Amino acid sequence: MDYKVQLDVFEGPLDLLLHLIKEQKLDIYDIPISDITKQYLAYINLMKELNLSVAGDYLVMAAELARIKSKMLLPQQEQEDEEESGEDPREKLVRQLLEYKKYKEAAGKLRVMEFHQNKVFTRNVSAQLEEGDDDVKYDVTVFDLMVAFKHVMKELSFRDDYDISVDEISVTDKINYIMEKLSTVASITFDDLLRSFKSKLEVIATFLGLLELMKLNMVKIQQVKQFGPIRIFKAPEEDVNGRD
Amino acid sequence: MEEIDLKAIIENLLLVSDKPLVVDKLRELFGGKFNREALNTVFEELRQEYENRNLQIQEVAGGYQLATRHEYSDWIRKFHKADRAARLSKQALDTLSIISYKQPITRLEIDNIRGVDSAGVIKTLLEKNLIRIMGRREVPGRPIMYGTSRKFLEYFGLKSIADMPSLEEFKEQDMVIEGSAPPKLSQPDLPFEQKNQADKSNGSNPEAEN
Repeated sequence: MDYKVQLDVFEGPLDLLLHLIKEQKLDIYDIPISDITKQYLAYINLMKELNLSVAGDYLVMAAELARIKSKMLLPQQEQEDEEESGEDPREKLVRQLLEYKKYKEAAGKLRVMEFHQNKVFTRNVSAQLEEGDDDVKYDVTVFDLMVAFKHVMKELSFRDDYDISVDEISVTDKINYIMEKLSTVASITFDDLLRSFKSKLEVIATFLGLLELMKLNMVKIQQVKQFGPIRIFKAPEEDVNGRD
Repeated sequence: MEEIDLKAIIENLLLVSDKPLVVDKLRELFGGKFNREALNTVFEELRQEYENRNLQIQEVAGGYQLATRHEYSDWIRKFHKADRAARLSKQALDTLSIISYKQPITRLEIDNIRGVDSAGVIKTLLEKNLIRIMGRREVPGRPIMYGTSRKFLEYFGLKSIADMPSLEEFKEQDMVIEGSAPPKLSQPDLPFEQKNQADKSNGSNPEAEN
């Protein structure tokens, strides 16, 4: 499967760290650096396994985590770096995360205001309705999807012989499969979609196909509550046009 | 008598105006015959009268606009064969949130907060007129500075940029990581100082009663 989905279209490394902090219920002010580094790298590896092209930003952050981790192992007095002496090596990162989180929370409030104001029309109604055609239709982060994906992979017990019998699996086929499925039903759950395959490679290809469809704005993905089922809908016809 | 005429005229203007009616513009229209206060009073009266009608007058982007009511949005969408609400992408919203609180801000500064490249999102936001170029920062490279537009206020139904919800600041004492020196917080964001000049009409707006 030579297929690459550019991940940073969806989320950046700070999103991944915040996701991990939330998922593991970590204290953002006292991040266990070696744990989070391990988890972070596990995600990167999963991305690589899925053949998602990992953006440089992710690797820069991985290096930063490694740097912090090694700094924390050093006894205090050996730190010769003047400006950083006496400072928790995590501090810069924590600050950055808090800063980012703050704006994300504010963005959540903007989302509510957008929802509200979207229900109000003025005489400019046609311009107002035209606005959103290149909008993205998912509320779920790609990390939520990866968690769900890992979950499905863990639960499905694949029969080894299956993988051998399937000769060619293409992501394109899976994209077509998903779109066909969505033309008959209004929505499918993420779990049902992935569980309809018996081979590991097929599940992976389907997952990649789904990411690609998200990127192309051809599906919308919703999760009503945290850890609830993830649903995939077909995006309304007029949504399907490229965005940059 | 004048009072009644004024109200009727403004009500008619509200119907035909394709953007929010701004008090200062109306003063010009009436040749300075009415002061700000008088005009604001009329708008406020109208706004209250419309509370009992099937349309509403909204105070938005430093002006007033005649608008439909929330509860009829489905019918309007159906009429226009638009079955869904326009929504900005999460990336666009995050970026807008940063720009709105930190304006004027350069792309590099936005990138630093988001930890990813923001060129594409900024381009989209510019195309949508939700942000605007506010000039260049006088530092090497003279990077472009961005800020929010009037359209931004209209899109989110904000009276002015000062009407933005306040940022939930993280508490300074929480930042003290055990065994470390007290952090030197860069001064908390006070984004509204420089913004007040952008929304001229704000000073005289009557308090909205809700």
